[in-house]
Amino acid sequence: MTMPITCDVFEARLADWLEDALSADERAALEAHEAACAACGTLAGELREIRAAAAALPELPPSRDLWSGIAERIEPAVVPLDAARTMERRTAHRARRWGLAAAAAALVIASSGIGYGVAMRRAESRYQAALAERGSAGSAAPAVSAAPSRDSM
Amino acid sequence: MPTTDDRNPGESLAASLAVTPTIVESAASGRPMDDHVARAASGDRRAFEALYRAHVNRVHSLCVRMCGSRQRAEELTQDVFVRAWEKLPLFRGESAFSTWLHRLAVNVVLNARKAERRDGARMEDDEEGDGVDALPSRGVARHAERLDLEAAIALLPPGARRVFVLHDVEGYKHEEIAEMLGVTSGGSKAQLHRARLLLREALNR
Repeated sequence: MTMPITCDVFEARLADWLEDALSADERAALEAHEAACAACGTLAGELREIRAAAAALPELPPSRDLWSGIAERIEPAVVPLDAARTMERRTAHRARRWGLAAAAAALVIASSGIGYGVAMRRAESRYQAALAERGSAGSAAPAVSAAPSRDSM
Repeated sequence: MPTTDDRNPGESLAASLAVTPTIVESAASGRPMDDHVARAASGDRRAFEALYRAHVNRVHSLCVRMCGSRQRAEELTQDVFVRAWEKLPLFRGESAFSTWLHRLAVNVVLNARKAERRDGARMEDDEEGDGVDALPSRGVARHAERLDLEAAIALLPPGARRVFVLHDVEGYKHEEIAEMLGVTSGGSKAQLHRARLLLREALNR
């Protein structure tokens, strides 16, 4: 025999009953109470109606065609042909300018290096000469700066 | 708790739940959808457009009911299809394309909400009241117009609305909903019951 349940118990177990998550005994108890209690019977019936109506809701179309917005976002960026050619010319011109600048800089660096090397060798020669003079004269050699003078650069 | 005696005489809850049939457009190309999926995955935009036209209404429906705003739903619908275009090469065909797309739509909507919360945008509080205060009360002009189910769903608190839509409208199980929303299965069941009770109250006002 099924034990009668109260309305509070019925409401507490109602959610599981609607989900078919009750044991056979519990199910029987709720079914018996539903049949005997008008208020609980109405409650259960209306919740079932809501569940059924929700499952039958129609699809909701958007208010406008959304495809163009989607297409823009999935389309890769396209550069017009004229703009592409202009970009190419600008890129090539820029490359030539940088190339010339790089060549000029290399030339300056190279000439500086050559000038410095020549000045260093001249300073060395003077130093060697001064040492030689000292050796032959037996006197203190004049102070000679190893650093290249401005005139030799 | 409201009872049938509180409703207008002669009008049942069932009447207020009556739905209006709608015509669902389908792709007119004549090609099977599987062919469209394969070609779209290879970069065929026309094939992807056919998929869009076949599935946009269902995706949009989900977005509207999950986020509660038609304007936002249109933005999200576009986001869904852009994401689908990006992910389509990864679609293995282990499930139906519609199932895959639908699950992707749910993820896009949920992730959008997370991003809005991170950015501090105006967001709905999951725990604000029970939603009943937002529903039209007796004596207001709307008393003469029975609130329909669609409008009542839109007024639900966000957490309850999401679970209700995913379970009762879209057919997901509580275990799946729990995984998607990062809640327990028991929490999902509780939210669903809460949603149904709120809807009953709204529809009986």
